Amino acid sequence: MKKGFMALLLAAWAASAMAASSGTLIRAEQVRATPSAGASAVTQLASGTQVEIVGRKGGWLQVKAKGKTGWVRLLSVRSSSGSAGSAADIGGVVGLATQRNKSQVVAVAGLRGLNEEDLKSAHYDAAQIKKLDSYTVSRQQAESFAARAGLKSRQVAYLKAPVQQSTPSSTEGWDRSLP
Amino acid sequence: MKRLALALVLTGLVGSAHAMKLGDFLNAINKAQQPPTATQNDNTTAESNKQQLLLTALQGGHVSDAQEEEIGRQIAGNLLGAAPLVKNDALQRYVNEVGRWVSLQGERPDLAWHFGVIDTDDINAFSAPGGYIFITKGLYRTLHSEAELAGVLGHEIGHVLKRHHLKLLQKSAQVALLGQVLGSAVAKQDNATTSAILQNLIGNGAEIVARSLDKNAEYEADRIGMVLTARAGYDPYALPAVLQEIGHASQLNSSRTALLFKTHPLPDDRLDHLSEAAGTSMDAYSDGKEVENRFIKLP
Repeated sequence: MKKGFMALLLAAWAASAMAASSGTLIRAEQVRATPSAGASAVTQLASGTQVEIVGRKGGWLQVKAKGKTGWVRLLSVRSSSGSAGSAADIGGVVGLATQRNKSQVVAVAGLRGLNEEDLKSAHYDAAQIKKLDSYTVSRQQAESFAARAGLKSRQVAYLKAPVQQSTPSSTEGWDRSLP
Repeated sequence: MKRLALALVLTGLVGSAHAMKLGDFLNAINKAQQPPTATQNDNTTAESNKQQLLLTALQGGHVSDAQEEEIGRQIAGNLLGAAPLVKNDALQRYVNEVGRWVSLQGERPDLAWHFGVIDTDDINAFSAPGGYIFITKGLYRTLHSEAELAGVLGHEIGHVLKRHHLKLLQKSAQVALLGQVLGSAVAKQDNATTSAILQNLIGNGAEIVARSLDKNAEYEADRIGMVLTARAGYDPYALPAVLQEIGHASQLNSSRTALLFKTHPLPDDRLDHLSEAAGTSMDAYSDGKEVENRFIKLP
């Protein structure tokens, strides 16, 4: 039974790999020759255009549409557009782009979730906390870890909220915090 | 009758637009209560004093970093009781190295930050006050690079920086205090009551880590996560890439993302928000690194 389920998933995955991953443009976009805003435009696509996603580099997705291939901004593409066949797309945009997926399929077969009941009834585990402590990293250790990969701190300002948050649409925090 | 009175007061509180007023009100109640004196409680132990201080801090709104760390540690221990750490020293160490580096980019770099991968196939990540951050094995497996890991940890670090869950606990503590005041003519503040209230708040269970925050708190954590990732030298688009990935995985495996989507806005909404907030301002940092070569892949 389990084996059959897994085979089914693998089949679904194989199908999606052949069909490639699709997405929808949520705004009109210039399709660029290279992943850069300054690159020459290959073509222009209208909002709502279905694209086939073949790769990612930073904030850019490489897409195919209307016989052309080029790069559009990652934030201009939505993957869960509800288009037919997308349910079989287990790996997703990025997964397909970087070609790894099989481990995920295996993970599904060994399904074991964490639900609210588990969390409610959880008991303090002192041995696990001690274990957690044993992995902590000091500031100096973190800095040399970063340096080994050539990572350097950069000055980047925090992003402001795009809209006024004056109308809290939900009182969920309150409702759920009642004893 | 008591219940009705409590309900009325709570309705009034929920309707109030100003949280500050609520805090002042509660402070006033707190001050009006007689604190236990040494003569009243000769057998007061250091532990119950500490508990009382903790509860008073939660109810009064001024929690020290040390107290926050103590609260978080209790919650983290409870969470690990539900889902233990993955038995992989190299992986746990690696996640601490990445997380600690990202935590240095925020405004609370000297908290006692802890990071862990917990053993469940669920796709989720959690934070508790004081700098306790957990990512599930299920979510870790969907990642492709150190930058994506940094993005996920950055989101959770954002919750800690903004004390989102601590504030939720404080609201609960204040509600408990109100219940206490309204529930008895003589407002008891003895050790047993203190213990019971603390026990209710953080004594058992870890559902606080999975409790719904206001969706604006989630959007805020996304914005912070993206910025911290960029500050740490990584590709800032790693976090939005993970959100896209989760959007896909959910379509097939709804049970693995059930809790995540119950308590968070949907990935597309989060992407819309990030897109609007970031515009093209993060493009200046798109030369950030992915760091794929040393990323530890799980079998």
